[in-house]
Amino acid sequence: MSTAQEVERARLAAKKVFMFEKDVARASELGIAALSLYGVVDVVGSKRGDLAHALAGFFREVGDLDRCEPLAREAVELEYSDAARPAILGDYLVFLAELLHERGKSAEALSLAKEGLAVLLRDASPSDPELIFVHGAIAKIERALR
Amino acid sequence: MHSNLPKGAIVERVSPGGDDWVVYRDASGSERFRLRSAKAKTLNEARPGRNRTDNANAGINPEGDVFVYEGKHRSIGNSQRDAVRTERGGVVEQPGVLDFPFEPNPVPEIGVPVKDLPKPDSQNEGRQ
Repeated sequence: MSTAQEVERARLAAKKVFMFEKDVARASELGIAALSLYGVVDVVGSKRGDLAHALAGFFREVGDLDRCEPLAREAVELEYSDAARPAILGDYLVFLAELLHERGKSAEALSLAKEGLAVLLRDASPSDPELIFVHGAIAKIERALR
Repeated sequence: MHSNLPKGAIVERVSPGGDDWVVYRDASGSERFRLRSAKAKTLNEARPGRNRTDNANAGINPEGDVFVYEGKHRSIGNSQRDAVRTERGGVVEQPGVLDFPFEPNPVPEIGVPVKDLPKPDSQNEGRQ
């Protein structure tokens, strides 16, 4: 078993290699090591989802979308099971939507982005600056689908 | 900068002028960074597309300034007057101040001021 802190430490080490050394291969190797730790991590529910989402973000950054997508989906599923944090669920849905759009799965992306916006609106005022970006993401996906 | 620290916080380090950042240990024992975003630095521009994460990390660069590893979009936005929710590192009644986990390892680079960087999403909104 590994702890959430160990997973995070490993992910941050990978991120630093990517940031400062710009060595994608080495960063990916370290990211995969963090992913192995995540596989045996001792937390469940949304705490596990947060780790999955953070790793998804790392793999998106290094361009490994095949590893990113299942993690992003898992983060959403785990956040659904908790449902106590609408702002986080909304963010995870929009992240997954943007990723799927990037991967050409725009129909699913649009539905998730709209769901994400609805979830975020439960917890935020319509003038929240974060929402401007979500509206922008939805508009972009809609344009691609036209 | 010291006002509004969480109950039980123990201040460990303060920026030379006293108003740019504070490293403190919270009640759970974690080291955290209370920082003024307009004075923070990071490596480079945030890439388009957000990770939509609450993850954040900041350390101290060789010049003694805050260096943001994670939470770039938020730092750039906050330094340019965007509000940041508390669950994402914003601080109640302290606009322009963020509260991130502290990364104690030395930062290898100085970085550039986040306040001079463009806000990526607004700049690239509508890109395809």
